[in-house]
Amino acid sequence: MSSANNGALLRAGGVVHRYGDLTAVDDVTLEVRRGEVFGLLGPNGAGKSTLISIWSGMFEPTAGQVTVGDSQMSPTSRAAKRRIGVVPQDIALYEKLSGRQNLRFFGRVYGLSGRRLRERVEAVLDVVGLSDRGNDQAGTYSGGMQRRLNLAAGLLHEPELLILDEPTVGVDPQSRNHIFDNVERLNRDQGVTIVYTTHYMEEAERLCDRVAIIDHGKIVALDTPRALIESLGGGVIQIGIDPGQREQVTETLASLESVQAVGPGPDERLLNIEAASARHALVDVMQAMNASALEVETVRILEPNLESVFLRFTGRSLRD
Amino acid sequence: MRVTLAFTIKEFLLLLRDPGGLFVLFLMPVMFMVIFSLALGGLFEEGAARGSARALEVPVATGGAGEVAEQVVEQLDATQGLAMVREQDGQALTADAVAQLVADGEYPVGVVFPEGLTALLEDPRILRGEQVQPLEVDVIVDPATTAQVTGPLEGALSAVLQQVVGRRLGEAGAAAWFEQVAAGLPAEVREQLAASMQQDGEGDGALPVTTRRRVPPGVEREQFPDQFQQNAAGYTVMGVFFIATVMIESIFRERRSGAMRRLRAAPVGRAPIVISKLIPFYVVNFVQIVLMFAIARLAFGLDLGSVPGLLVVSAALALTATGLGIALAGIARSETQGTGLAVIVVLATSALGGVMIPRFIMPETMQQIGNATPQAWAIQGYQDVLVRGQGLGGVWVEAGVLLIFAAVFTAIGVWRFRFD
Repeated sequence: MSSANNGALLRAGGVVHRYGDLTAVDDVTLEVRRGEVFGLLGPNGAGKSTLISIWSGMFEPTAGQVTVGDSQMSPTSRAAKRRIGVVPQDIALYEKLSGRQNLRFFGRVYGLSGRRLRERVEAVLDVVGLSDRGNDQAGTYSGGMQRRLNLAAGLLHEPELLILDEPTVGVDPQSRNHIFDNVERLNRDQGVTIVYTTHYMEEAERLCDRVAIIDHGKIVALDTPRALIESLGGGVIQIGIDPGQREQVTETLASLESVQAVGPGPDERLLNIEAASARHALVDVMQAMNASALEVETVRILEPNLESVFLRFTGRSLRD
Repeated sequence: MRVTLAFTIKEFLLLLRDPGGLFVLFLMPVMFMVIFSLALGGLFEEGAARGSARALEVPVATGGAGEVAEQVVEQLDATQGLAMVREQDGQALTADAVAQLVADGEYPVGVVFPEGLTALLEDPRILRGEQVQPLEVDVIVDPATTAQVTGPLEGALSAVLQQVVGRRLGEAGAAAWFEQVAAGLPAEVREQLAASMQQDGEGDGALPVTTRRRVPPGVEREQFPDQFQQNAAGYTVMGVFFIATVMIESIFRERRSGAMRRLRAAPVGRAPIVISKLIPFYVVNFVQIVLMFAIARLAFGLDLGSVPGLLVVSAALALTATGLGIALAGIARSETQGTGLAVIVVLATSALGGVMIPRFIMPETMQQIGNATPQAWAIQGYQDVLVRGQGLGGVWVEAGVLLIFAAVFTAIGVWRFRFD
């Protein structure tokens, strides 16, 4: 993780995007600082892909605007597009072409040619550790190798901002670590600003300087992982209850000294209980429930981490 | 069993999620039924009343040929499947006008009777059975027309000539002989003899009138097309347009892979992507055309005529076909819908454009609709070169129209192009 934050490289102001009646991105305003690794966390359907598609200039938002440096981003803005590299969630490659042929094609799309193109192709193959397999058809690569080639294609033109959309989905541990190393080295050694979307909390905690949590198209939290976790206190207890007793349970538990807040869980049978120390508060919670003859169907302690942060802000798990 | 059922239900759900694709699947057979029924309607109405069936219209010039020609034309006109056209714009057709109409492709075949036909049959030398230089009834044939079309006319013309001229000669000759040898017979015997002579006198022996097949003046090639010459253009044109299905599959496959999405984020516009899609398929198409004609030349001895003319038509045709592919890929909402749509469009326009059946046997309305298909212009261009012996100067109109089709299709393709 880099600590070199030198002003905003990407700015999103009041970005809204609607698909018919569905609001996929709802008034998002934020900045991605130059030199940072910026995490965008959210479950499937939260609006991550739509938001980064707009940031990448794939389509115009319904409202709002995006700038990259001093260039306004739009589908026709070549200057802004040249400053970013996009690594889509899909393996956006031609399986019938070799790794090198794929990279030569995408390099030419970004205006590279001749010796410079050849040098960049070899350089990015080296970065992702595929130099010895560069002449093999991409379709013969393992899933992890295809992900790495996918990443390489986004690095060819040496972008200032690299957008990685769930780059480790379906990847074996070895390739995942390789991708982590690549992201860290690109950011640390080459100063590349990175936007990293994921629904794996451990990735965000390891890689990101700051994290935005997106849910139902809205940014519900934005800070460093440490600050977000600290805001949670000592963790979350999630208990399963009889929905008919929901109000009574909430009232009972909210009155306990060791409990900071009681909020709704992912569904009506679950409640999230925030506490300075989840393990200590659990004893008080169980005693209070027994004393009031309230039924506890399940109990789960969520240690303070981004997963429980997400749960607190969205009421549901990242993998829901 | 459960797994099979689950997969079956899933496939049904997927089909139902693509109503456009489903529509195409159902539309295709319906459309063919309708188009072929309309286009071939006349051919299948053998028992229909005259006038309701689609007859072969034949322009005819009888000027100066006299009453015998009129009789022949009347009998031909009464023949099922033939409709003799004697006038245009209220004026009786001349021999030149008939030749021009055929040369212009307005009619596939015409008939011109020689001047002095009736007078010849009254020549005393013929009545005496002496040999005279026979007169020729010209059958003016568009070289691009098949024998299936001209054959019935030529057969009917020969038969009617045999009947009308033979009877005429029989009657005239018998009358002269009768006057000489039967003058003294009783009236009753003379009548019986005259009736039997009339029956015997219909068209025995060589007639002093023959038919001659000709191409219209100005059409250079005297050689008539064989089956392969006739079909080379048609099959080539139809095959070329099937590139549309391959293009659609390619574009949708690329969308599926996500590569298009990546390109959308790249600093390139739609036009270069579309054009770069066109080029390789254009090359494929052009190679396909060259291969078709090379096989026709080497294996079947097809005379290619003017190679520059052929190349110009081929170049414009390949551009039109690839343009159609990109347009349909833009219009279709799914790969299934796109390829189904391409099959429908290609086969339907091929049928209307005269690839499968000659356009001149279609009803007038269908012929006019056919003019709106690129296939009709491509076939016309190829036949100008291959069959009518035209060169570069003879195909520029057809090539120009094909280029207009190509421009319109490509513009639609760029306009409707989607990355995902």
